[in-house]
Amino acid sequence: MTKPAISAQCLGKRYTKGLSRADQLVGRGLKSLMRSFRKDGDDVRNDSDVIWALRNATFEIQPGEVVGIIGPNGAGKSTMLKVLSRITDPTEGEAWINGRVGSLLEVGTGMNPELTGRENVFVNGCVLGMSRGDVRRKYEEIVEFAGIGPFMDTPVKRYSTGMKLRLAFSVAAHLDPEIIMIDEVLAVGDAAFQKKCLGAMEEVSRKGRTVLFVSHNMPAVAGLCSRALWIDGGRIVADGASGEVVAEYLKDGCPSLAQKIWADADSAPGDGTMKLRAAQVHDAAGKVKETFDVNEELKVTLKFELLRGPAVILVQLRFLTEGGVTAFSTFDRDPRWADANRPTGHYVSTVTIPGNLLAEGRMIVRCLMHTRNPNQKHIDVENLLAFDVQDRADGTTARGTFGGRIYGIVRPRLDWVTERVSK
Amino acid sequence: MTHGVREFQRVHIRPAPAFDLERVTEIWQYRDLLGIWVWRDIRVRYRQSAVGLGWALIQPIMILVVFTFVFGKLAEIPSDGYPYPIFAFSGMLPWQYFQKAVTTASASLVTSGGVLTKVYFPRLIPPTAAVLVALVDFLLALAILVVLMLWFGVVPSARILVVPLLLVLTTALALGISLWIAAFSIDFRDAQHALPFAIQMWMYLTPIVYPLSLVPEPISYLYSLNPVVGIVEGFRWVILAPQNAPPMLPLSITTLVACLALYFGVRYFTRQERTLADRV
Repeated sequence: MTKPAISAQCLGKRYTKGLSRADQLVGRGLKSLMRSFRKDGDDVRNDSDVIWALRNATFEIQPGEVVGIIGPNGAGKSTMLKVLSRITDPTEGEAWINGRVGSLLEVGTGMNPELTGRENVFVNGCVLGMSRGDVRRKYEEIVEFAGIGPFMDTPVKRYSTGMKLRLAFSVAAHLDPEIIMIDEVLAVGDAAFQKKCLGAMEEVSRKGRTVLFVSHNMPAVAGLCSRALWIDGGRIVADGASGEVVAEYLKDGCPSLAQKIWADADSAPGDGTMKLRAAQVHDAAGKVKETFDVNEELKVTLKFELLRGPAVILVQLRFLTEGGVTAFSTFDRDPRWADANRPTGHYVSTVTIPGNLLAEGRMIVRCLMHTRNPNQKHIDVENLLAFDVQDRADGTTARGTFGGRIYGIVRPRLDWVTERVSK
Repeated sequence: MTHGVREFQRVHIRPAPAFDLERVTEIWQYRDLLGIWVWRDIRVRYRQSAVGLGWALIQPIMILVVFTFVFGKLAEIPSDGYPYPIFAFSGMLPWQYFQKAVTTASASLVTSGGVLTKVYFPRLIPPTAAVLVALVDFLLALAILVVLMLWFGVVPSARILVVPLLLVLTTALALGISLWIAAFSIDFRDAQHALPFAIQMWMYLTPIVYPLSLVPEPISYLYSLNPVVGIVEGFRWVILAPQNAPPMLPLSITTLVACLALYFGVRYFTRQERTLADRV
């Protein structure tokens, strides 16, 4: 029976918030002093300062498996990679790794701008774990993959960002260890480069290497990986076939950036005329979610209060991409209220965004509210809500089963008609 | 399917034990990285300055000139009968190596901070590489010393064979102390600021610009507890070749301190470095 490539039992990583050890020493010293004066000698430990970035992680990965690691930001995915790459130690538990590990948590580690491309290939290669002989043997291939042949003897500080990236990734791509751990490295670079990277990854899995791939790119995970681990709050929430785990993950987004509530009127955005009290992104059933399928209908609900009236109000929501481009604006034109003088009081407004409109990616919602005649702005919250739109690439969306990059801030599913007109 | 120099590994990941010898023996597997690291540091320094490697030669020469003028001529500090330049230089040479090694090695983790949080390699490599880089400078300065000796007609005796031993001793001492300071600095950053000052004071408490004979009898025993005294006196004994026996007392102290510093330094360092990615 072959040994598993990676075998982890109850891995856990704890971080203590805030103060450095030096401060803690003083704090702990004082606390123990205080404790000696207390009558019943109770040890009051402050548990809220402790964060378990990873807890009870147990799993086995066989050689040759390509495993995706998904989960919301801050769930512990990067911590898991760091522990498995030995960059940091676990607080509890243990793991056995059989085989050489190559981690790509970042490209270009160890490169120095003063050295030439050629020299940096050696430095970067050795830092990543190759021997000098390895680098020498693969040097030609590395240069060819990077595509910057004539510049190899120029100092790297003269390279463009693109060239640096290509060189760094090229070295990393030729690492050839038994186990590869990648952390979202593919998120950088232009389309042609990303294609090359995906190609390299496919090649690697074809060669039978074990791959651990942390990503937010669901189509890539579903496409490249046979298995997926869903990590949330430091724990492994799901472990199974990548298609299933990805589907489950998409159905069950996590409500955090998707909801904002201001219980206290004083802290709520707005002024003496209008105050925004709550906002949420949710599905048709009313469940607040942070992640939606591209073909899923989603709704945004706003709860606000008009304090001085009656007034004609203009309620506006703007949807922006992560890069700051406004996809569209929408105004509340509900005929009952649109141009009418509204009395004071609490209002709830809901807008429905149909499925198959938005493109994949993160959308940021901005809310503006004006009173009219004269036009005066009372509420303008720029990063009010955020949510992710994901495409499962299972054939039911505009993407079909295509796994590459699709351009556009909207992705409507339109009707095409094609006939064959001649032989 | 090429595997390269490093053999198939089976690695055990677990919370830090008291002393993990494997973190030390691993360096052998990463010896190429150590070599490249040293090569890179020297190369970069060479590229960055106009004078390049020449700085490694100019610096000791300048110090020699200034010291000879200030301490030798103006202050008229005795030099046990030897020409002052060579007297001072024979002490300055090992001191410069020690001082550069400790200063750069203690800071090595901080200066290479980025890499340490992205890729795994034995964290002992940056400080060890720093010490080796200082060694290269030492060898260059040694060339100047040889020139000096020929100039002053001081002929090296068979004692010169002791130099490699002294070098090993100095390296062990410097590495041990640096590892301890580097590990300590992970949590207590202030140590880095205090270091240059401490080193400066240390230099005055070592018989470099003045001879050991200047220190009065009862105090000289306490004074010799400074491990660098043994090294400096050792080098003087080799280079200036006085008739008396080698300075056994200071050398024994140096050897003892070097062994302790190296053992506890490595131990403390390998323990601390395991979670340094969380703090750097």
